[in-house]
Amino acid sequence: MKILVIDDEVLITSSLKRALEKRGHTVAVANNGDQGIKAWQKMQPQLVVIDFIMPDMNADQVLTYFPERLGCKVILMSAYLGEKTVEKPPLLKIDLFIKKPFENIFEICDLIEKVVD
Amino acid sequence: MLGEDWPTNSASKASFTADLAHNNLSIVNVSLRELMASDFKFGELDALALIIINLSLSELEVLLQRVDLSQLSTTIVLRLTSADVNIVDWVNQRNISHFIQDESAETLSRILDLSRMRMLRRTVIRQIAEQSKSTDQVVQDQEEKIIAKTLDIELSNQEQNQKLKRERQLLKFLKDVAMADFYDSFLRSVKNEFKIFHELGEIFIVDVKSETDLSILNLKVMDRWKDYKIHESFDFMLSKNLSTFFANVFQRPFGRVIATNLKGNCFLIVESHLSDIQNIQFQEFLSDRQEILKIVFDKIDNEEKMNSFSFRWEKIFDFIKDPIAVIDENYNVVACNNAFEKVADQKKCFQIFAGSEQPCMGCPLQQNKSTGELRGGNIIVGNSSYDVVAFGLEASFVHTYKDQTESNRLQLELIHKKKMATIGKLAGHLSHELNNPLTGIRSMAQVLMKEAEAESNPQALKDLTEIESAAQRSLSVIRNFIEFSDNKNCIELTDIHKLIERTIPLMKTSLRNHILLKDLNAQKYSARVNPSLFQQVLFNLIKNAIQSMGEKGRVQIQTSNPTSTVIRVSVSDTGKGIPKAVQHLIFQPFFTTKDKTQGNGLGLSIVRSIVESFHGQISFTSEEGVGTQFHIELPVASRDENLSH
Repeated sequence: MKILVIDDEVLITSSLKRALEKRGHTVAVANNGDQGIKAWQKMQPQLVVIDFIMPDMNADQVLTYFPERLGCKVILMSAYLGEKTVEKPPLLKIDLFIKKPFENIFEICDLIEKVVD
Repeated sequence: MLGEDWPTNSASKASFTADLAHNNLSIVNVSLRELMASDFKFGELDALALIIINLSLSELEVLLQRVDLSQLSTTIVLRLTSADVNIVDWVNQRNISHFIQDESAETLSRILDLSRMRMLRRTVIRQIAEQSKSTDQVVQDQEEKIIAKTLDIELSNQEQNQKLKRERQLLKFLKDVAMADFYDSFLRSVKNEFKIFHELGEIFIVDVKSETDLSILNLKVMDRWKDYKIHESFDFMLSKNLSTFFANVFQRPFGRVIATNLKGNCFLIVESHLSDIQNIQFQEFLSDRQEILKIVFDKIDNEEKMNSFSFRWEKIFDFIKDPIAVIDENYNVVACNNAFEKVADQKKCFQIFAGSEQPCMGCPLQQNKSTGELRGGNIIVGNSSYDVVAFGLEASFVHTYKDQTESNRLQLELIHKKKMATIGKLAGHLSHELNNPLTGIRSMAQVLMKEAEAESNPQALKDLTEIESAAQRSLSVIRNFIEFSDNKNCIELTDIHKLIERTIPLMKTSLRNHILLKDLNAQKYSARVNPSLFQQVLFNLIKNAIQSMGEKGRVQIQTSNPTSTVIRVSVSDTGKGIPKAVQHLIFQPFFTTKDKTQGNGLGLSIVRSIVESFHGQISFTSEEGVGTQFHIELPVASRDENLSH
């Protein structure tokens, strides 16, 4: 499975890439919105894991580039809990919301695989 | 000389005549024939100095039929021509003083002496008579004057008496009416005074308030003023026909009106049925009393105004909700309003208001006294805080007290909310900024741990486990911090022990070199609290404990159940303790013993208000140099309620 992980925190993208690749997936990473868009267009992933708040643009802005999602599923992650409205933004048409910080990265990997099934 | 000329001797005669002339005397000869003439006036004989009779006895007898010699006052000298013994008896009967028998010089000189003496006496008598006459005149004049004067005096005396009587009557009236201290007693004494005129009708006072409004006091029905409305506007002072006017007002025929202006628009009205003569008397009577009436009425009017004015003032004073006291420089209360307290005895303001025996801490009086300027201060009485403003000079200072308790509480709440909002915002940012990398660290550690396990690298696994758990601890600190700052207003059943455990990590940095001991012995340790607020309570108490200890010391957190329904959380320190003098103040907002940089004096008052909102209580014991223990007692939540985590 081709998976794109977009998060401004390098440790998160690299740990996810490492864990998911261990499970046999093809993983591309991007560390800001702009990179994410380009990687998405280039890679045509089946699943995108995207952080909600990034320095250059937020997930919703990235998602507007892919209104039809190109047949791919989207998992939104967010650590920003200060504002409750962000818990599940209604207009983003996402498939799963993962709350950061997460306890165990392998559980997250399980969740990611589950979404595609 | 009655009869023949004498002395017969011419020489004697000459010398005698000369002597007589020398004494301003002369001889007048009157013959018997002349004497016997019908027109002779014997009265003239009285004017002579001396009568010498030179007649024979027979002639004498004739003469004596004509004149009674005893009627004459003039000294009579008889010349005896022959020694007739019978003559002696005769002489004795007839006022003859002297006899002459010869013409000797001796006899002549005797005659001369007699004449002279007689003349002298006559002159003296005349003089006396004249004198007495003029004296009489004077006396008479004086008498007349005295009579006139007496008359005068009597007249003026009468007048004076009348005047005096009048004055006395006026004085009595003045005394009577001056006793009056209200309008009604004034009118009563006026009525009493006017009683002597029987033909007077009503007597009353009118207050002309406007062209259409009157107020009348007549004491007939009640002792109060009664208002009357006039339908047509009416200029009272200019009106000639007051009789008709009052007939309309009272709706009855009204007698002649005698109006006296008492003051401003107030008139004394007398209804008169007096005859014209009586009326003149009454007018006089009234005009005598007019001044008195005016003066006394003015006094009463002023007093009434003054009274109502001071009454109003007192009411205003009393209606003011904030306590106000007028005090002298020795703190004695001179006057105060109801909010302050009504006291009869002169007491000190701090005795009454604060129940203390010394001036309140923060009282602005002394400053006001020394500067003369309005000064404010803050005093604390019981659980309330008051802003005190002192103003005034010398013996009278006005203290106003403004209860700041409520406003302090509101301000406290506001500050607290603002603070928590700021912390909340900060927490939001922190959670994003820290959670992200920490999650990354932790995730990577987890991934690498798995790899190290697979590669059987125990050293790497151990290190990575350390990294992972450090990241986890950091994340939990952040979570606690967010919980702490999340001021959602929900009270829930809370495990106090767990809450304490969650709070302690947040204190680690503050603790520095201090030892923190936990001694959680309570068997029942769930209570209904707002967890994040309760964390703040613990946080504040621990922070205070640390700040009171300087560089080293021990903070101990204990829980216990003094009774089965109470959980007690105690935070004790080994710090410097709270001085006795300020122990009653420590829960007051803005009270602080710390440096300005270390606290704003709100911590403990926030703590108390939070604890009280959980139906709990906070107390403390403290000993200077030994330490302080704070005790929070909360009702234990009942067992059948589930703990929520």
